[in-house]
Amino acid sequence: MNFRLLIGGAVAGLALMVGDAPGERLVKLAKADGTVSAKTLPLDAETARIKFNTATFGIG
Amino acid sequence: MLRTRAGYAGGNKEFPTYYGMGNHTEVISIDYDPRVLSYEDLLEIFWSAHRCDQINRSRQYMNAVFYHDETQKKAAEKSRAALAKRRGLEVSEVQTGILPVGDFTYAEGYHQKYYLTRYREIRAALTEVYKDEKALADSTVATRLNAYLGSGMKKDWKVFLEELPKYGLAKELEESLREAATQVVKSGK
Repeated sequence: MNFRLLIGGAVAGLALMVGDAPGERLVKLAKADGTVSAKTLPLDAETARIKFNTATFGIG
Repeated sequence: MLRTRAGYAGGNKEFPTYYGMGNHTEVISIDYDPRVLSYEDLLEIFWSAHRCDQINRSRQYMNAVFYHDETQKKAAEKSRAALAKRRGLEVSEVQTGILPVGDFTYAEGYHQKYYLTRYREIRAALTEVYKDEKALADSTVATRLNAYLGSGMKKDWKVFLEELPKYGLAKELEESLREAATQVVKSGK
Protein backbone atom coordinates (compact mmCIF):
# COMPACT_ATOMS: atom_id res chain seq x y z
CA MET A 1 0.00 0.00 0.00
CA ASN A 2 1.14 3.53 -0.74
CA PHE A 3 2.61 5.12 2.40
CA ARG A 4 1.42 8.51 1.24
CA LEU A 5 -2.10 7.11 1.16
CA LEU A 6 -1.88 5.94 4.75
CA ILE A 7 -0.46 9.22 5.93
CA GLY A 8 -3.00 11.08 3.83
CA GLY A 9 -5.80 9.22 5.57
CA ALA A 10 -4.43 10.15 8.96
CA VAL A 11 -3.74 13.75 8.04
CA ALA A 12 -7.25 14.15 6.71
CA GLY A 13 -8.49 13.13 10.11
CA LEU A 14 -6.41 15.91 11.62
CA ALA A 15 -7.60 18.44 9.10
CA LEU A 16 -11.15 17.53 9.95
CA MET A 17 -10.67 17.81 13.70
CA VAL A 18 -12.81 20.89 13.62
CA GLY A 19 -16.24 19.33 13.79
CA ASP A 20 -18.60 19.84 16.64
CA ALA A 21 -18.30 17.34 19.41
CA PRO A 22 -21.62 16.48 20.90
CA GLY A 23 -21.59 16.73 24.67
CA GLU A 24 -17.89 17.52 24.84
CA ARG A 25 -16.64 17.55 28.41
CA LEU A 26 -13.32 17.37 30.10
CA VAL A 27 -12.10 13.79 29.99
CA LYS A 28 -8.85 12.00 30.56
CA LEU A 29 -7.90 10.61 27.18
CA ALA A 30 -5.54 7.66 26.76
CA LYS A 31 -1.84 8.30 26.56
CA ALA A 32 0.60 6.39 24.38
CA ASP A 33 2.52 3.91 26.50
CA GLY A 34 4.23 1.83 23.81
CA THR A 35 1.58 -0.85 23.89
CA VAL A 36 -0.92 -1.70 21.16
CA SER A 37 -4.45 -2.38 22.30
CA ALA A 38 -5.93 -3.76 19.07
CA LYS A 39 -5.40 -7.50 18.92
CA THR A 40 -8.77 -9.06 18.21
CA LEU A 41 -8.74 -9.16 14.42
CA PRO A 42 -6.13 -11.46 12.88
CA LEU A 43 -4.26 -8.72 11.01
CA ASP A 44 -4.19 -6.55 14.13
CA ALA A 45 -2.92 -9.46 16.21
CA GLU A 46 -0.21 -10.07 13.61
CA THR A 47 0.96 -6.45 13.43
CA ALA A 48 0.78 -6.05 17.22
CA ARG A 49 3.59 -8.61 17.46
CA ILE A 50 5.91 -6.59 15.23
CA LYS A 51 8.51 -4.47 16.98
CA PHE A 52 7.84 -0.94 15.87
CA ASN A 53 9.21 2.58 15.99
CA THR A 54 7.00 5.65 16.21
CA ALA A 55 7.24 8.92 14.32
CA THR A 56 5.13 11.95 15.16
CA PHE A 57 4.38 14.94 12.97
CA GLY A 58 2.26 18.05 13.10
CA ILE A 59 0.85 19.25 9.80
CA GLY A 60 -0.73 22.63 10.25
CA MET B 1 3.52 1.28 8.12
CA LEU B 2 1.61 -0.46 10.84
CA ARG B 3 -0.85 2.07 12.19
CA THR B 4 -1.57 5.77 12.49
CA ARG B 5 -3.63 7.72 14.96
CA ALA B 6 -4.44 11.35 15.72
CA GLY B 7 -3.59 13.03 18.98
CA TYR B 8 -2.01 15.85 20.93
CA ALA B 9 1.69 16.23 21.68
CA GLY B 10 4.54 18.62 22.26
CA GLY B 11 2.95 20.53 25.12
CA ASN B 12 2.85 20.19 28.86
CA LYS B 13 -0.86 20.16 29.72
CA GLU B 14 -1.41 16.86 31.48
CA PHE B 15 -4.80 15.91 30.08
CA PRO B 16 -5.35 17.71 26.77
CA THR B 17 -8.61 17.45 24.87
CA TYR B 18 -9.73 18.98 21.60
CA TYR B 19 -11.41 21.83 23.44
CA GLY B 20 -8.63 22.27 25.95
CA MET B 21 -5.29 21.24 24.54
CA GLY B 22 -3.18 23.96 26.15
CA ASN B 23 0.10 24.32 24.29
CA HIS B 24 -0.12 20.94 22.59
CA THR B 25 -0.25 20.52 18.82
CA GLU B 26 -2.59 18.31 16.78
CA VAL B 27 -0.37 15.54 15.46
CA ILE B 28 -0.34 12.22 13.72
CA SER B 29 1.50 9.35 15.32
CA ILE B 30 2.80 6.68 12.96
CA ASP B 31 3.97 3.24 14.05
CA TYR B 32 6.20 1.63 11.46
CA ASP B 33 8.32 -1.46 11.06
CA PRO B 34 11.93 -0.20 10.85
CA ARG B 35 12.87 -3.33 8.88
CA VAL B 36 10.59 -2.15 6.08
CA LEU B 37 10.54 1.62 6.36
CA SER B 38 13.06 4.10 7.72
CA TYR B 39 12.53 7.27 9.69
CA GLU B 40 14.28 9.10 6.87
CA ASP B 41 11.65 7.79 4.43
CA LEU B 42 8.92 9.25 6.61
CA LEU B 43 10.75 12.55 6.91
CA GLU B 44 10.91 12.80 3.14
CA ILE B 45 7.17 12.26 2.87
CA PHE B 46 6.58 14.77 5.66
CA TRP B 47 8.67 17.46 3.99
CA SER B 48 6.86 16.91 0.69
CA ALA B 49 3.44 17.11 2.40
CA HIS B 50 3.64 20.74 3.53
CA ARG B 51 5.25 24.09 2.81
CA CYS B 52 8.26 24.35 5.06
CA ASP B 53 8.64 28.10 4.53
CA GLN B 54 5.12 28.83 5.73
CA ILE B 55 4.90 30.52 9.11
CA ASN B 56 3.03 28.37 11.60
CA ARG B 57 -0.32 29.95 12.29
CA SER B 58 -0.70 28.64 15.82
CA ARG B 59 0.65 26.13 18.27
CA GLN B 60 -2.44 23.98 17.71
CA TYR B 61 -1.95 23.83 13.94
CA MET B 62 1.76 23.68 13.45
CA ASN B 63 4.10 22.06 10.97
CA ALA B 64 6.62 20.23 13.10
CA VAL B 65 8.62 17.07 13.54
CA PHE B 66 8.13 15.82 17.07
CA TYR B 67 11.15 13.67 17.79
CA HIS B 68 11.12 10.77 20.23
CA ASP B 69 14.85 10.57 20.89
CA GLU B 70 18.19 12.11 19.97
CA THR B 71 18.58 9.85 16.93
CA GLN B 72 15.31 11.13 15.48
CA LYS B 73 16.25 14.70 16.36
CA LYS B 74 19.55 14.43 14.48
CA ALA B 75 17.87 12.77 11.50
CA ALA B 76 15.24 15.51 11.37
CA GLU B 77 17.86 18.26 11.55
CA LYS B 78 19.91 16.57 8.85
CA SER B 79 16.89 16.20 6.56
CA ARG B 80 15.88 19.83 7.21
CA ALA B 81 19.37 21.00 6.19
CA ALA B 82 19.23 18.87 3.03
CA LEU B 83 15.78 20.19 2.19
CA ALA B 84 16.86 23.80 2.69
CA LYS B 85 19.82 23.25 0.41
CA ARG B 86 17.64 21.67 -2.29
CA ARG B 87 15.23 24.59 -2.17
CA GLY B 88 17.85 27.31 -1.97
CA LEU B 89 16.80 28.36 1.53
CA GLU B 90 18.74 29.13 4.67
CA VAL B 91 17.97 26.64 7.41
CA SER B 92 16.67 29.56 9.46
CA GLU B 93 14.07 30.20 6.75
CA VAL B 94 12.53 26.79 7.32
CA GLN B 95 9.59 27.48 9.63
CA THR B 96 8.80 23.83 10.35
CA GLY B 97 9.66 23.05 13.95
CA ILE B 98 11.76 20.22 15.31
CA LEU B 99 10.57 19.70 18.85
CA PRO B 100 10.48 17.02 21.56
CA VAL B 101 7.29 14.98 21.47
CA GLY B 102 6.75 14.65 25.22
CA ASP B 103 3.60 12.71 26.06
CA PHE B 104 1.32 11.72 23.21
CA THR B 105 -2.36 11.80 24.11
CA TYR B 106 -4.86 10.05 21.85
CA ALA B 107 -7.41 12.39 20.32
CA GLU B 108 -11.07 11.71 21.02
CA GLY B 109 -12.56 8.71 19.26
CA TYR B 110 -14.58 10.84 16.86
CA HIS B 111 -11.32 12.30 15.51
CA GLN B 112 -9.84 8.89 14.77
CA LYS B 113 -10.21 7.16 11.40
CA TYR B 114 -12.28 10.03 10.15
CA TYR B 115 -13.14 8.63 6.74
CA LEU B 116 -14.73 5.61 8.36
CA THR B 117 -17.38 7.88 9.83
CA ARG B 118 -18.79 8.06 6.30
CA TYR B 119 -19.20 4.30 6.34
CA ARG B 120 -21.42 3.69 9.33
CA GLU B 121 -21.70 -0.04 8.77
CA ILE B 122 -17.92 -0.48 8.80
CA ARG B 123 -17.36 1.88 11.70
CA ALA B 124 -20.10 0.17 13.69
CA ALA B 125 -18.63 -3.25 13.00
CA LEU B 126 -15.16 -2.15 14.10
CA THR B 127 -16.58 -0.44 17.16
CA GLU B 128 -18.25 -3.71 18.02
CA VAL B 129 -14.92 -5.53 17.73
CA TYR B 130 -12.99 -2.79 19.54
CA LYS B 131 -15.23 -1.23 22.15
CA ASP B 132 -12.27 0.67 23.60
CA GLU B 133 -11.49 3.86 21.65
CA LYS B 134 -7.74 3.37 22.05
CA ALA B 135 -7.97 -0.11 20.58
CA LEU B 136 -9.84 1.17 17.54
CA ALA B 137 -7.28 3.95 17.12
CA ASP B 138 -4.51 1.33 17.35
CA SER B 139 -6.07 -0.98 14.77
CA THR B 140 -4.07 -1.67 11.63
CA VAL B 141 -7.25 -2.85 9.93
CA ALA B 142 -9.03 0.43 10.73
CA THR B 143 -5.98 2.42 9.62
CA ARG B 144 -5.89 0.66 6.28
CA LEU B 145 -9.63 0.83 5.69
CA ASN B 146 -9.54 4.54 6.51
CA ALA B 147 -6.79 5.12 3.96
CA TYR B 148 -8.38 3.02 1.22
CA LEU B 149 -11.86 4.40 1.65
CA GLY B 150 -10.59 7.96 2.13
CA SER B 151 -8.78 7.82 -1.18
CA GLY B 152 -11.92 6.63 -2.93
CA MET B 153 -10.06 3.45 -3.89
CA LYS B 154 -8.43 5.45 -6.64
CA LYS B 155 -5.41 3.40 -7.52
CA ASP B 156 -5.10 0.70 -4.96
CA TRP B 157 -8.36 -1.16 -5.27
CA LYS B 158 -6.65 -4.29 -6.59
CA VAL B 159 -4.32 -4.34 -3.60
CA PHE B 160 -7.29 -3.71 -1.34
CA LEU B 161 -9.21 -6.65 -2.73
CA GLU B 162 -6.16 -8.87 -2.25
CA GLU B 163 -5.71 -7.69 1.33
CA LEU B 164 -9.34 -7.78 2.38
CA PRO B 165 -9.56 -11.49 3.31
CA LYS B 166 -6.56 -11.07 5.61
CA TYR B 167 -8.37 -8.51 7.76
CA GLY B 168 -10.49 -11.20 9.36
CA LEU B 169 -13.71 -9.21 9.20
CA ALA B 170 -17.12 -10.84 9.40
CA LYS B 171 -17.99 -12.37 6.04
CA GLU B 172 -21.01 -10.12 5.51
CA LEU B 173 -18.93 -6.99 6.12
CA GLU B 174 -16.12 -8.30 3.97
CA GLU B 175 -18.56 -8.89 1.14
CA SER B 176 -20.04 -5.44 1.55
CA LEU B 177 -16.56 -3.89 1.33
CA ARG B 178 -15.77 -5.98 -1.73
CA GLU B 179 -18.95 -4.76 -3.32
CA ALA B 180 -18.19 -1.12 -2.42
CA ALA B 181 -14.71 -1.37 -3.94
CA THR B 182 -16.04 -3.03 -7.06
CA GLN B 183 -18.70 -0.34 -7.49
CA VAL B 184 -16.10 2.44 -7.20
CA VAL B 185 -14.00 0.74 -9.83
CA LYS B 186 -16.96 0.27 -12.14
CA SER B 187 -18.04 3.89 -11.73
CA GLY B 188 -14.55 5.02 -12.70
CA LYS B 189 -14.31 7.48 -9.79
